[in-house]
Amino acid sequence: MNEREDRLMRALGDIGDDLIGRAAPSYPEADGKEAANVTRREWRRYAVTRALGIAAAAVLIVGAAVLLWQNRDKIGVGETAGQSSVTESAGAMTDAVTDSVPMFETNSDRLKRLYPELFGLEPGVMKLSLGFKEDDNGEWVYTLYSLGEAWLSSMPPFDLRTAQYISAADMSAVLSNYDMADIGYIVRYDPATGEVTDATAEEINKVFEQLGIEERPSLAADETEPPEPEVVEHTEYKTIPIQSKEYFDRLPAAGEGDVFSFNMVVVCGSDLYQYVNYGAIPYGRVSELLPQYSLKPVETRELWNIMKPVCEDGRFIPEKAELTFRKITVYDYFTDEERSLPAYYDVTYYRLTDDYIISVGIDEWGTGIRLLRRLDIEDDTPYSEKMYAIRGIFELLWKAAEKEPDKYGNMSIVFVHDVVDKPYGDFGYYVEAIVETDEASDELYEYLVTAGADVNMFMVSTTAREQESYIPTDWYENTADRGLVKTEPNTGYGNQYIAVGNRVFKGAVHYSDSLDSLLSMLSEESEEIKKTLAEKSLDELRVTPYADVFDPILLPYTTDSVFYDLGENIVEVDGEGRVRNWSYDFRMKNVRNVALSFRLVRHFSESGIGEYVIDHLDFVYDDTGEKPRWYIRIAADPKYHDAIKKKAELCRMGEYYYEIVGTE
Amino acid sequence: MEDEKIIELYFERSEDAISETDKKYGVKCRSTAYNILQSREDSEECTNDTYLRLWNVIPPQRPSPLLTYIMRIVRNLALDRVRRAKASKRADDNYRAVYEEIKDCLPAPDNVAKTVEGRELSALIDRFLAGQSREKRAVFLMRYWNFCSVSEIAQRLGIGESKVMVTLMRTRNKLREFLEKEGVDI
Repeated sequence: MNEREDRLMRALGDIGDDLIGRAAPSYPEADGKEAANVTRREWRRYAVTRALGIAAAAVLIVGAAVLLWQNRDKIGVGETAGQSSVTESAGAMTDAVTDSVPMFETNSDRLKRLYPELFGLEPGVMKLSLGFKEDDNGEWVYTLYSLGEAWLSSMPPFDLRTAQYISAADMSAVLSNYDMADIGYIVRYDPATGEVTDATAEEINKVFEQLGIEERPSLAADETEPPEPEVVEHTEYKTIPIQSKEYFDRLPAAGEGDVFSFNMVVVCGSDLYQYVNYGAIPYGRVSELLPQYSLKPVETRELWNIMKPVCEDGRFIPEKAELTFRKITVYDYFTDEERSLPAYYDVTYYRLTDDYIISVGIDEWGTGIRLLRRLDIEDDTPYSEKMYAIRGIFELLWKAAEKEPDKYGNMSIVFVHDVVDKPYGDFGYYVEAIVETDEASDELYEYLVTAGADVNMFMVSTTAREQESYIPTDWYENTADRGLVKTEPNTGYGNQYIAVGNRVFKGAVHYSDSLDSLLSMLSEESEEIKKTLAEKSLDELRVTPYADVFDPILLPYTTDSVFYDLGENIVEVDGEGRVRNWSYDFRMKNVRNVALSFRLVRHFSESGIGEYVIDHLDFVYDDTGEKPRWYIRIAADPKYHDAIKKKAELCRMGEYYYEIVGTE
Repeated sequence: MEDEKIIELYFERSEDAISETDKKYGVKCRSTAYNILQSREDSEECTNDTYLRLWNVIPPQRPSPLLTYIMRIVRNLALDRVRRAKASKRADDNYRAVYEEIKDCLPAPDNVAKTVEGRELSALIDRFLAGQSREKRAVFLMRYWNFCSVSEIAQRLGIGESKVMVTLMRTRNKLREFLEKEGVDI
């Protein structure tokens, strides 16, 4: 093994006892007690033990479960479940916990009737609250759990003491928003030993069956005090003003595709969350409206279970959300700033579970609720993995800007979202970083590649400046359709250009005799290629270019050819053994950048997401002016011209490069 | 039995010292060893070697806390075994996998940076880890101190495997950046 890794591993072995003890949950402390940093499930069980030890025998609560969460060090060890009066127990609990813990109170006559021991106190609003407080280690720990009266009243009547299977002395139900999918809500408590064990699935089902609850209800954590905001990992990076923010501010009417794509993902903590439902669910009759949205049935049910506690007659009550769910801060996916919304939006985010967040309020999708689900990088869809990869690229770009603000300080980062028509499958997402100079863009590109960014995931392009762009006539004539159209990916030979990352290569018309002779010739012509071939094997140089220079993601070259990247040349060996050379064309790079920007516009028209319709696009060669130039003519209904122009501006596309005309 | 009493047994050269140590910490020793060595027989041997080492150092040492002292010995013995190629192939594979990952933590070579190792490096890592959240610390140390697998970490901490992997990757990168900022090389 390498010496450096070895030294690091050894040094890791000698870190402080405190760290090892605190961070390794399986190691008990020296005095035999379990380390304070146990898993959440273990905390819960300890907390239940404490709660049951303190309260009267007729303790908890199915459906409307109450769990006393507590850092175990705060409560004395070894309390036993007694038959002491509720008042004493509650008082003991209050003393044992903290001064901020209220006593059990309720203004529900039904509960008082059913559980006089528990709730035989003065009437008052149920005040148990799950909040956070900081322990001695600076960690946030749960303290209590809170319910709204309306939620309680919606639960079916039950009597723990009379249910045959359930004995309040030996079984209690524990529900929390963090364990919506976990079995283990119901635990078996033995008052004689104080032992708490998980109930089996069968026992749980029986409990709910006897209680007349069809589904295991889900509870939302209810806190009186908002915890510290989620830690955002990248605050040290310089925030680059990105186009998405400006773009957001200039939003046209809701429903625009790019708005959706920019706002698909937010960051909370170290996780990414994706919007599940596109439009906001209005507050009224949530239970009826939910199924209309594009959620999976399990999500619909899950969302309803979460919403129920904060609904009255099926109507969502935002004020209850304030009391029930923990408010959190989410961050724009592409910046480290708190989610940037125009001033007229009023959105608050709440954490429902580790996997779900809701936004409540007024946003571009209307007034109501939207659900976000945590992206799991191991999901079957490539989407989540790409999102993380793109986020990684953004981080690299921010880092570059921070390190070299002179070079990259004016960088704009645009997240481009495109969807491939089937059968090419897969979503095409990439990041476009627009920088000021050609040199900077190449260097930045190299930086990203060297840093391990996937070349398929980003492009670096120059801002639109006055520069000569050149499209060879034969290329234009070879396009399968007018304007920016995907060429057939498998023709290979009908398409004169391929692209790898930001480099565009033009194919030679003729084939070489053999790979060896071509490589030999190229080595003679270029010292760089000679060096590359000396240092790397051909296998190491294999690359998959894109067939269409304007579609870096959408159309990988899917022939049976093998390509080797030599830098300024790409060598192709097709399935029949024919060898072909592709050489770098620096002029095409600029054209490609221009064209790629216009892909956004085209996407609008074809995807049907936006209302913009582009009839067609043409490359036009104009030699009537001082300097001949190529530009793109966009034909569209006049009512869309302004929007297209906005889009082009956002793409930093100067008017030198495009013209918008009406349709014939 | 309390640690102090166990240590007293060592001082008295009573063989009960070993049995009491094993009773209290044997499972942890074997688990730690197994994570690295991936073999029950090797783990047993390693654990026994640990007790022998303890017997030889106590007295005069009076380690406190005893558990972490023992864990260090186990870990080092197990790693030595792998390094000397006296462990199973599975252990070697596991070890290499962890080493591959740990490379991400290495700061980029820099002529200006001061080379640190040993206690100085440990202190830096201490400082870095102390600044991480509890969960990140746990994930990182379970993987790189204790050689736990990703799935084991996920299960123990009640989080998804993907979150474990992302957390590991990010923490490795952060450690590297931290070391680079400190101007040190390893």
